[in-house]
Amino acid sequence: MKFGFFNLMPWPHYPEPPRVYPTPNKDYDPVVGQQLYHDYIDLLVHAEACGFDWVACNEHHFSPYGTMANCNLIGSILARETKTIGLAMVGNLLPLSNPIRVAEEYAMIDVMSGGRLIAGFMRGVPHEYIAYNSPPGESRSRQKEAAELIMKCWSEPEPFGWEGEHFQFRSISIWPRPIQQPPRVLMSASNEESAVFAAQSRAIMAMGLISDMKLARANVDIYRQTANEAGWDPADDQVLMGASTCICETDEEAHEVFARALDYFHGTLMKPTYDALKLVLQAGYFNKQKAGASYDSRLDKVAAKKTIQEMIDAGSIFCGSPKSVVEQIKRFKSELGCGGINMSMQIGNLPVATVRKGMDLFRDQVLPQVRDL
Amino acid sequence: MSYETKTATLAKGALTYLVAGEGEPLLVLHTSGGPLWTPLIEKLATTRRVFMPVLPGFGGTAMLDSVASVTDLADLAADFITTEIGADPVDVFGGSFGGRVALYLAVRHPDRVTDMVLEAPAGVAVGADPAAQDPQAARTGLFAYPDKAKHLAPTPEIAQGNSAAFRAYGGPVLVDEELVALLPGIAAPVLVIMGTLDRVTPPQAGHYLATTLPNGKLTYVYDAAHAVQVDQAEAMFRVTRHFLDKGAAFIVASREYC
Repeated sequence: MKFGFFNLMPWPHYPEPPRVYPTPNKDYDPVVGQQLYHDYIDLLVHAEACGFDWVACNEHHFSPYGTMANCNLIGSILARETKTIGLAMVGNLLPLSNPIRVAEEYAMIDVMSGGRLIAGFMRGVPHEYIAYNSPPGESRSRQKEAAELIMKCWSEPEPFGWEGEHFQFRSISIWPRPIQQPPRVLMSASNEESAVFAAQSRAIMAMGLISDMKLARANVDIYRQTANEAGWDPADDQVLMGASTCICETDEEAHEVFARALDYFHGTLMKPTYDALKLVLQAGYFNKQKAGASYDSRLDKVAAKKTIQEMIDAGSIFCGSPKSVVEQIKRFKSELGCGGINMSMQIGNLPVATVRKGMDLFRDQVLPQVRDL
Repeated sequence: MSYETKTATLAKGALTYLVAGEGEPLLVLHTSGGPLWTPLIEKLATTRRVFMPVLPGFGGTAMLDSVASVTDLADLAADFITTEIGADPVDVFGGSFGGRVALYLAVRHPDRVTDMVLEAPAGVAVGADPAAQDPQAARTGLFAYPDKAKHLAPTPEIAQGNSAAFRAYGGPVLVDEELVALLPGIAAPVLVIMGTLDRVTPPQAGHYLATTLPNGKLTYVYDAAHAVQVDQAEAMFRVTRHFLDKGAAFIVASREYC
């Protein structure tokens, strides 16, 4: 079993739930932010000493819940500050980006780190499309075309042009080329359509925001079945589950600490995001039928006024003492057949010291029990 | 836009051709599917005077006695340029089998050719594994969007004639060793266009031409199979027109060619 440490890099000091989307940035204090970036990067570097297999960063825009507008900037620091751990950029939002730039920056991280990149080809969540003025209805086709183009950038032996629906480039030859031929690719597989696309792309499938273990298992089955039809068999560690995670000395402490942090996360940091999602629906995208499997409905299910125990039972979070978290991980392995778990440990306003303590508990008391699953 | 059907009198016999449009001449060498007036050709004829000779035996025409090989077809095309188009040299577009004819034309008659655009050209897939080729692809893998080709389908008799003519000229060839040896001598600017979903011409064909042709460029048209000119006519027209108008400088962005 393999494990990742994921840091959303949230803003922990927002005074009250913002009333509008986007969150006005006057309440961001750049001086406090500077220290925060350093503390968060220190945690990512510490993950290597804690036995994690990869560290993970992602991209969000106009978002107090995640202050990485470009995770590649953090990835390039980690390429220098770490030695062996995988660097999962999960990742660049392909519908919003220049695919050539993504191919170049990912290749730089891969080369600087000695081939440690895990390249996330993400579609993004609807509020990101508002931020970058990109029609939500194009997100799937833009992601798909960009993914193919980036793979070509990494694999073509000669300069080439690309004449597509969304992207046109007349002569491409990126410098540097990546070390991995090609880099490992990760895609979200949180609904059936995405799971099929991930399998067809021979990418690692990743799921988060789980609210129903049976539905999650169904996506894994679709992914494996589609892969087999396409002539390949995913290894266990190509099936990846992500969940917010809090590990403390005791269950009581973990439940109390995490309940506070998740209240702040969902009630304050995420509020403008929920408002933005409503606007996307109001604009006519993601109709009710489709929304059954989409991000916003899953988010509602994950967040809807559940107790910590209910969220654990639903598969939405890992939380508790090391012993409890070991059991929760074993359940994921047996019910979902996943070979990798991405632990999102810096959530909401959890203190950095609490997260670091949780990482140490993971190293000393969790990992030895689950490494050989 | 409709085209006219005319006949040229050449040294080796009468040659039927289709012609339409106004502007600089463009010679089109068609695929083994015969002389199809595809959506791309339709667009090209809005900016060019397009000449599409019906290669003997295709499109319901008879074979010519002394035209038996691909090199003979290239010589015939050279005569057509001089005798019928009356302009030396001209831009050339060749698709698949016609791409192979076009490459021979550039090798044997370099003075007749300015710029060339080749779509998934046959005979140059050096490095491709013959065992990995899908034998059904030529029948089932020509189009990503078969509906776009429905109006182009010839009658069964003409289709049968096309197949017979194709076989008479040697049929499908993955690597034409004679042609491959001559490629480094082609000085003309050549744009090679490959569909990202092509299962007929292997990607090695594009790679090999990009490596070997002194002035070769390779472009992928996204979401197109072998018949790019049918599957993604608009995208192919954008880049083809830009290349034919600007040559090597087509890589400089221009709102005129978006």
